[in-house]
Amino acid sequence: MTRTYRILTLTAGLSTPSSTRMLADQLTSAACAAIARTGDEVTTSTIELHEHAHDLTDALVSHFPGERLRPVVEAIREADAVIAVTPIFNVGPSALFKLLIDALDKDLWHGKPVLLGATAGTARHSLALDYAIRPMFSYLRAEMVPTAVFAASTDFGGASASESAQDSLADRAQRAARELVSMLGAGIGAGAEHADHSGSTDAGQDGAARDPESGETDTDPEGTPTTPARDAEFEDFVPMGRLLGR
Amino acid sequence: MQFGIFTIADITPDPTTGRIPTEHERLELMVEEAELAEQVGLDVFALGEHHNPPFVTSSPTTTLAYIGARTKDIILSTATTLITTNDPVKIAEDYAMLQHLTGGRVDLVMGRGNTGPVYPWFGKDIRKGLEMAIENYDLLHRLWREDVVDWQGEFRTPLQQFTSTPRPLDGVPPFVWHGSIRSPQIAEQAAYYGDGFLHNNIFWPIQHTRQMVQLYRERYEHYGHGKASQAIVGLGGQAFMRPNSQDAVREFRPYFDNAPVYGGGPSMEDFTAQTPLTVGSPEQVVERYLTMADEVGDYQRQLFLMDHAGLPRKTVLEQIEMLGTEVVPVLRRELDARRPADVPEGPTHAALVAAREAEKGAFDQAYRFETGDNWTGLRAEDRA
Repeated sequence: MTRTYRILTLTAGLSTPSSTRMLADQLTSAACAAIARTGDEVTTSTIELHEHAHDLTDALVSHFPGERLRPVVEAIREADAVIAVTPIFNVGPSALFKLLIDALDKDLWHGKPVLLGATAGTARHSLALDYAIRPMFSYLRAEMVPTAVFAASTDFGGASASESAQDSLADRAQRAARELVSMLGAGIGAGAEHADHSGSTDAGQDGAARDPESGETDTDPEGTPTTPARDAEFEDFVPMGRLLGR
Repeated sequence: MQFGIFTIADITPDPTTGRIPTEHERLELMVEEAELAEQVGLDVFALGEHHNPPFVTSSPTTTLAYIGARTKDIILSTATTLITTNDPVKIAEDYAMLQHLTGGRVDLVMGRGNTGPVYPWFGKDIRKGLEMAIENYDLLHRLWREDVVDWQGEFRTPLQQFTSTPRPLDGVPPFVWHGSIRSPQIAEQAAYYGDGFLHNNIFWPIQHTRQMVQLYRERYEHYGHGKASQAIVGLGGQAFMRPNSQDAVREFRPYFDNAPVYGGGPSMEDFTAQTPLTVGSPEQVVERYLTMADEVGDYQRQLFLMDHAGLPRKTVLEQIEMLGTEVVPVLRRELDARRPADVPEGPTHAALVAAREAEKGAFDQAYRFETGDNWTGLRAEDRA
């Protein structure tokens, strides 16, 4: 049975065109090609974070995503995998990229396969990916693609053919894409939204609700609300029986 | 349906003049607001509790008792009472006292407080905030319903044969709401006890408020207190009005742009589109707040924040007057008309007493506690 993967690419480049966007596009097409080889299908979409710079700041300050930002949140939530690419500024991700992480619900990333990419002027910045950006996603409990792809100016056209030829950007992009696809094939990230919310689903076992007036025990096996489609922040719901330790 | 105002009594410079009210002026304005609220027909005045500058409301029962003595009808409430850092025994005593002295015009909104450092000031650990809210309220609930309480828990010393005095007026505890913006556990707590749930949504989009209220309503029904539609819901609100809407926008903008809570964030246009804040004519405020019940169901209490962001005294009083005379009468008429007969009105002491009498018969007012040797603090066995 073929299935269709939704790949979302987030790019934090600032100019048009930007080398960050070029890397993002390259990683996206490498992922598409790798998925196509498995016989599955793929849909892609790309979001330029600079178009949401004000919305992200507003969300950070007001603690909720505004109307223009909500589609971005939904796109991340619904994606089977995210390709996230940022310029390296001052040994870290661009503030715009960090803002995306800081301003949105951190549970968005939990269990989500993430392929990281970064750009900078020279290769001397390359370790920022693994030392400054990867730990952040580890904290968010994202599923990290082992290879993160760094591209410096030379990768987009070295001074000599030999400079760009060895372990070229294209090779690294393909390796990262293959790793991403094998993760997807192994089911990593499938149902990521529900991966670790057993806290609410096993609640019925010891969380049987007690009616405060009658003292009767309510035997609702779940002990949890039934209406679907609540935001991620409602997922830490705990029934009162368990809150009271009864 | 009940309408009212709430204040957190913040001291904020007026950005148009740079003037900063004194603590004394701010306290006087607070009392004046409550008196005016009653005069213009509002039902509720609710007061915050904060223990740090720039706020001046560290002692709500003192303030509410003073206001209670200067008013006749208005319900005195809180926004919120810190169920975490206050000793539940002291809350039980203070608010039962206030309830007696004001003839039952008291209810409370429980909250955990939004200032992290307040916890250690009262010897508490913020990491236990939720657990404290749960345990403390469970004790408070018992202290108002059981004459003699034996109790043991994690967050205060045990109680042996303890009686909280005075006992609630007419044997009916003050009505309690639980206030929370983001914690589903608090909606659950409110539902469990069959108490009210107040979502102070002034900084939040209605999509979020709707989900919190829905959760509370479902759980209220789950715990057998009534149908989901009969759960007791309150909302926050925020408005700035002038007869001509463009005047309201022009006058309020510097206050919005410099307000400690949203200055530097979304534009006033974005913020008014996405939160209940309405800046315009009284008709626009009416129109906006008529839509809330479509989102959260027929609800019982609508509170407005009218005195924030450094608005000067004269303006605040004008706003309260407009709210009471031009906005609330229309909202009251329309929202009462749409509410089905089986959905309760806002909670009052009289209604709670009537409900209790219907269920358990008349309350026996007779004093029923043993005194005897307790006058001396010594009992026979202690003297032997």
